[in-house]
Amino acid sequence: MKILKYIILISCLTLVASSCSKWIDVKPADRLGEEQLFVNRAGFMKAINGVYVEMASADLYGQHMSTGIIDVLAQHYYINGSTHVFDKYNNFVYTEASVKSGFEQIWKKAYELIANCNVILDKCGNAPSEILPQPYYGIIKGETLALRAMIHLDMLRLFGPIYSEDNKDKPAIPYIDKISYDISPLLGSEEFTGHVVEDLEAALLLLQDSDPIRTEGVRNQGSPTGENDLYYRQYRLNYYAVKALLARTYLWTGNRTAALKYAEELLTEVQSADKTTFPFVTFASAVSVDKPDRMFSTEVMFSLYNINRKEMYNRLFDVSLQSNDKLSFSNGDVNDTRVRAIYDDNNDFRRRIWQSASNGTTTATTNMKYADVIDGPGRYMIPLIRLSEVLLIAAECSPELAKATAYFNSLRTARNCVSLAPVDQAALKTEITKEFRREMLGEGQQFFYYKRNAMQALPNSSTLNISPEKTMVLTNYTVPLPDSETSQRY
Amino acid sequence: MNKNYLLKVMRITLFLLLTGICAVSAKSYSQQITFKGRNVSLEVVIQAIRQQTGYSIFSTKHTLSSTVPLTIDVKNMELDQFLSLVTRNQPVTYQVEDRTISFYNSEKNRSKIQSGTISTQQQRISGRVIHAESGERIESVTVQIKGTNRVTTTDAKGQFQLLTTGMQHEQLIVLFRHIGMKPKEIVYSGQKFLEVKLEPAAATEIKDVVVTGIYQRDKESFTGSSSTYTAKELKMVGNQNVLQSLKTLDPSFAIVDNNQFGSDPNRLPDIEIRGKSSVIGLTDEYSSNPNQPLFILDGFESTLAVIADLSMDRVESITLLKDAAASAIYGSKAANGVVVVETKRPKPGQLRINYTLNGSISFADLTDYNLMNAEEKLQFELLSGFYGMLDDKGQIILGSNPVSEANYLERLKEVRRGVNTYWANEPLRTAINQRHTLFAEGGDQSLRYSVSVNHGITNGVMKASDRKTTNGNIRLLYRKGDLSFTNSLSIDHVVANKEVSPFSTFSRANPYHRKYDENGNIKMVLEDFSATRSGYDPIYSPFYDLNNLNINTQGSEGFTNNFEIEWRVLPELRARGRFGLRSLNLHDEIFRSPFNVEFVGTDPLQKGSYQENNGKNVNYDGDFSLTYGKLFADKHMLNAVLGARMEQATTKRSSYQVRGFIDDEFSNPNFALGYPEGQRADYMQSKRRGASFFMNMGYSYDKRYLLDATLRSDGSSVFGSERQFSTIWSLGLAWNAHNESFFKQFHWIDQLRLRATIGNPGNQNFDDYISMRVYRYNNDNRNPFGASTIISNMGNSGLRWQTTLDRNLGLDFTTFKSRLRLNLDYFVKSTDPLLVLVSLPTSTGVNTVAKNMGAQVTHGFTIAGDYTLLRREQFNWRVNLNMRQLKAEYENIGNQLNNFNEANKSRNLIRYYDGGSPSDLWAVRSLGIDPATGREIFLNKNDQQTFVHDYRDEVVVGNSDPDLEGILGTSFYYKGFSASVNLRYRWGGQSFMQTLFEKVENISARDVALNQDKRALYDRWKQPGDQAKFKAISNTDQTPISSRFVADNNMLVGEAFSVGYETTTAGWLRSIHASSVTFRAYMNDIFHLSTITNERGIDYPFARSVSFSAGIRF
Repeated sequence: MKILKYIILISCLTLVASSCSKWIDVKPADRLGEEQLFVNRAGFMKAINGVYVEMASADLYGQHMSTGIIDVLAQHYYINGSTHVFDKYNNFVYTEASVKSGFEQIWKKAYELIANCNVILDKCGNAPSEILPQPYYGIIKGETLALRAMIHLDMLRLFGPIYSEDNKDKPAIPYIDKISYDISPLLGSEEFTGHVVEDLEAALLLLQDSDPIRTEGVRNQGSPTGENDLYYRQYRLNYYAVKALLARTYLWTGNRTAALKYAEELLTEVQSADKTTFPFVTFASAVSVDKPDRMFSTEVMFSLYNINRKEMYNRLFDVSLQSNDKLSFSNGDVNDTRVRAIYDDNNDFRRRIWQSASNGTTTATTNMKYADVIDGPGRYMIPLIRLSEVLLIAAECSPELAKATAYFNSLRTARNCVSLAPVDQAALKTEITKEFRREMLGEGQQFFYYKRNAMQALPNSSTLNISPEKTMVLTNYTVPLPDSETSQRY
Repeated sequence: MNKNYLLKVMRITLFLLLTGICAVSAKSYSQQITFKGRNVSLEVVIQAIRQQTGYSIFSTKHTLSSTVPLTIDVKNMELDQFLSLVTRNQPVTYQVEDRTISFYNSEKNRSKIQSGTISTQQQRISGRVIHAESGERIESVTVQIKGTNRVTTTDAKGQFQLLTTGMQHEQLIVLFRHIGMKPKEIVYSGQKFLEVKLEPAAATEIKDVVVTGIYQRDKESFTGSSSTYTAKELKMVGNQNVLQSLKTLDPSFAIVDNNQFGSDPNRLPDIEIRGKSSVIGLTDEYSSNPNQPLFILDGFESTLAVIADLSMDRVESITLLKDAAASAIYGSKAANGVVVVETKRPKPGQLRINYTLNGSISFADLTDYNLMNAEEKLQFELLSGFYGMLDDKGQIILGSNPVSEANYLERLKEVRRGVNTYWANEPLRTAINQRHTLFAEGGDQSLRYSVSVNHGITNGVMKASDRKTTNGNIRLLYRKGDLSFTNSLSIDHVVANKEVSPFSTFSRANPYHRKYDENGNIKMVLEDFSATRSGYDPIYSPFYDLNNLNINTQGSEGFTNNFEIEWRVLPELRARGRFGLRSLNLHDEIFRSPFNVEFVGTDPLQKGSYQENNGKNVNYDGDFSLTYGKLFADKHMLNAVLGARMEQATTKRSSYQVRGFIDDEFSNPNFALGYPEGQRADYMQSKRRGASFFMNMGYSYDKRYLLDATLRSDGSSVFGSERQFSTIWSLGLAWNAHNESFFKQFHWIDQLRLRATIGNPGNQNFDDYISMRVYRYNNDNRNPFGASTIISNMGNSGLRWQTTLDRNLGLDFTTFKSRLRLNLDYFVKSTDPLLVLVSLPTSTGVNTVAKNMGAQVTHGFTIAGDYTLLRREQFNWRVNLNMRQLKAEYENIGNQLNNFNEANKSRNLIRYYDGGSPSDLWAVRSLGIDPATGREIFLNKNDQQTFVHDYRDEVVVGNSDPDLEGILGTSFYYKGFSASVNLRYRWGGQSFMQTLFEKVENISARDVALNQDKRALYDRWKQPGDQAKFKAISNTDQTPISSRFVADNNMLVGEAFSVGYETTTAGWLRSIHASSVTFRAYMNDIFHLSTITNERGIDYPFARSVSFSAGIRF
């Protein structure tokens, strides 16, 4: 009897003890633990897609770093006085609380995504594995490295100094390449871009064999199997986009030879006679009445997919907005002085983003680039790297004027503009600047172009015409680091 | 209304009285037997007796098997007569005692006694132990022949047999001992069957047992620091809730004064046992207080809310487990101490009913408010330059704003007309509170039950704020052989309403404004500045919103079922399994009327808002334990507990908000016009699980040397995958000096025990996912690539869980025949490392991260003592004194928390430096106001005078913890009457004077328009030569905090006064069929004397209360 009692007792205890570790290994229901996520390829895909999706948020390329703050800094728009919501940005009042908070949002989101990239890279390991076989290993790791480099580069271009021999060692911002809560040192621009290049080169190596864009093209359609992991390459940081980024980075550091090398390599690869990965937009498509391709979507090498793009348009450009809230070329009317000042050729396709829009009560010159076109090409697209930038880089970096002009005019031709014949490199550079302005409106690159070239005369944003030019104080090109960063560094 | 209410209460009381009586009479069994049978066995007859009398009948099959069948026919025969009739010709005899009838084999007993007298070989004492009051048989009573090692324990039927072979019967003294009972000695005089009745221990003796919720131990053989309070003691102090009473009774138990929310009935207090174990950065971040102790209710984990709402009339006792040896059995949740609440267990017997009514009247305590009247306020505004610069005659210089003077004169006219509005009374009321508790219990040996229902209405002193709690509890106890089952089911219902606007909006309203307009309507706008000062918002009447239909209700329904099964495997070994289920539904509704002033100027489609929050918590826990206790060789007492525990807690929350109401008659969300733009419904779900194994061993040698050891391994899903289990241990040693033979010469010492313990209990009051890296799904934006996830919490997987190394030295001393009792505890708690939420540069990808850093060491002592001044028959007068001191300091923080220091500089006086104390107040020393210029003179670090305030000159200018805090009290009993007084004193330490800082100085140009403290007018510098304590009255600049705003704070509070009367013997009781009656009246927090004048209860005033309780037992 006694023995029986003990047996019962002991079996009770064993039962309790044995199932214990499993019991406390609980998974949260409305979120995912890291260990649950990176168990298969799908998990990695979700994590990297998380970065792409968040990049399209308003804090980053969904507005501030594409069409919003950054383009206001580039003096694109007519800002009519101190009551305009963007006035403090337009005049570089970096001490203003609202301006500080805007840049802080950009900074925080960018480094948050960099931290996300670092976790993915940590999980990828150093070789393809059973849970992450090729080509997915190459794609995921390559894209993630490139994303990390790209976001870092943009932070340097915004918060760092103008790159020059004098201040390329001046501590600027940190390059975060590991998961850590330690405070990373502020690096000089030279060292920093070294890391960017290193990441991009590594990405290029990884993507070179795994990225289907090199053999299959952009594949901007759903996969027959329903699994789009290797499709829609225009919306992923693909092999070609990485090359373009390398050209962009080298040019930032003033290394024109390297920039040209990558630009030319790229142009040969994507616009060769037999295979055109990124064809120029067609006349029919660009001027289509019901479904115009205002994005010139076929030429976009990397873009973000944002189904809420319409909201961004409604916040910044919509004709119904008050003049004080709107980014426009006119003062709430149909004046087109500024349009005419910027676009020298009336047949320029690009001019068509400016239209007289009406909501019944107001009719005004409106930037329709991001207006929603149902079923239109690139309806949800936010372009971040495009072919024309590569062409302009090649034009800017080619030492021979003839070759440079050829690159330049190939773009002009594609835009339905007459070719130009600049007399010398300086004249060409002036034309490139103007061309860049026409090309990059709403894509966040213009401010960095001015900054790279340390331009001290910018288009005037307080008058309807772009001239007389506005004097730019060079120190205003450097946005101060946000308080949330500086106050915690000790 | 009040009259009606009283009437209602009386009616209910009468009803309860009547039903009680009826129930009693219905349940009363007859003692007469009616029986008719032919050739029936005795067993059948016994069955009939059992049914008709309700008596317990005690016999064995063997005894009855030898009986012969009977033929009887009786009607209404007395029981005794009937019994003798049925046993007349039978080989059995019977005994009736206290509703129990026992049948014995008469032949066998006779022969045994005969054999006993013939031979001394087989001598034994047998008998039975029963409860003197209930007649219940008591198991596991230790039965010992005094002075020998012949020991046994009683079985489940309370029976025992003890061999006495070879002993002289004439000298035998048999000793009976049982936890919770008074020990009894019986001189054995050869009885064949000993029937022993044990009296339950008196209240003070219940205190000799330590109930930890997992095991029980004799206090005599326990090394940990704990104290136990009985229901009677708790009720002697107050009838509000158990927490308030514990605060007065125990020096280590503190309720942190909430100066912001005062006596808000819907705000849970912050509770600390022996101070804080950690604070940095966390209190702001989480709603739960990281220093809150663990609450255990009848062996199951509970919450602060449940304990705060618990009816005091359900409580049997409360034990505080303070040091590591006492609390380590709760492992990683025990660092802040444990509060173990035991509720009343049903006692067997006839149905008994208890009814208690608690009532109180409370009113706001505004004595610390020192507000200006209309005349003073206007004068203050004039002098502060609100109406423009003044010339040397004190007249307004007409400057750029001529409207100002007109404005002043307009107000002056009002003041002269006698307008002096007192706003502060508008939101306040005298609140009447009540709580009814009905408790019924009864049952027999095998099945017992208790039912309790209570309903309480606590009205806050602010209008519209109240808390209604209803609780029902049913408890069943079933015992069969070696097994016993207990089930307790509780249902709680709480409805809490909150006040419309905070008290501060009223205390800041200007006395020169009128409440009503000329038509007698409540004014909405008191003053419109649009004509006089651009950019100034109009001043709205705080009274206005009070009359709109606003709703702020929180409701909850709780269901708790706790089941326990206990198996007595061997007399010394028990196995116990418990399973508890607790579910809680929460429902909040907040409706803001569209007419409220907050919506003035809002788009009409957006006026008014309604928010609904819903939540559901479901918790399970179960444990299994083995308890072993045996005395070996009369000297080695071994107690051991081994067990395992599992728990799961799931939480769900959802909420949404709608906007746009036309009217406040219809607060239904159905009437709303839409959702706030860009807002989605919120949904949150979390689940945490834990599993633990625990072991406790207690050994005592000859009751002199004691040892306790605890080991617990705690696993929790929140620890993260890298370290799921953490180990908690404790060790305690104690020496009962009074049991040493050499000590007997000091016969005036009753007890002298020295204790020393050490252990490392942990703290789990942190966010569930603090250490895990967690991804969330991003649903805002979809793309062709399918689902996307993003890190929502970076987590710190390397985080070490916070544990506190807790060392305690204790002394228990009783002398002069228990007239003087003293308990001393000295403790050192080091929390190393601390868990700190550190801000990081945002380039790390996060804003804050939980990190391990630094340490906090707390030294402290508590002393509790009482002395009986007079002790006579039915008369007793005692004085009691308790005190605590806590001193803490930081170590190894370095400069890692400098960012907190920077952030705090403009807000408060708390800094984090090595060697500094968490309660230190840091500020630049001030020498006061320069009489010549009205500017403040500071003292820098080099003791030089300067006009410049520099944070680098900060030093410690005070400490908010007192040198000593405690209770001084006295109590007095005479026959049934009792009275007690308990005063709280606080001696030493300083306070930051919030009121001086905010309402005397630092009144910005804009805030001049609000009412202020009188000292802003009288004590500020006005002209050269003024020896003022505060800056120039016209100064509207921001003044940094300096030592001027820190003052010594000594306090004396009338915390609890009570008088009572209790009787069980009064003659009139029988006439109302009651067995006891209790009355008690209290005054709580009736005065509050302090050396500082600082507003207390900013958004909700503190309350003083006068209350009474009346109990009746049938």
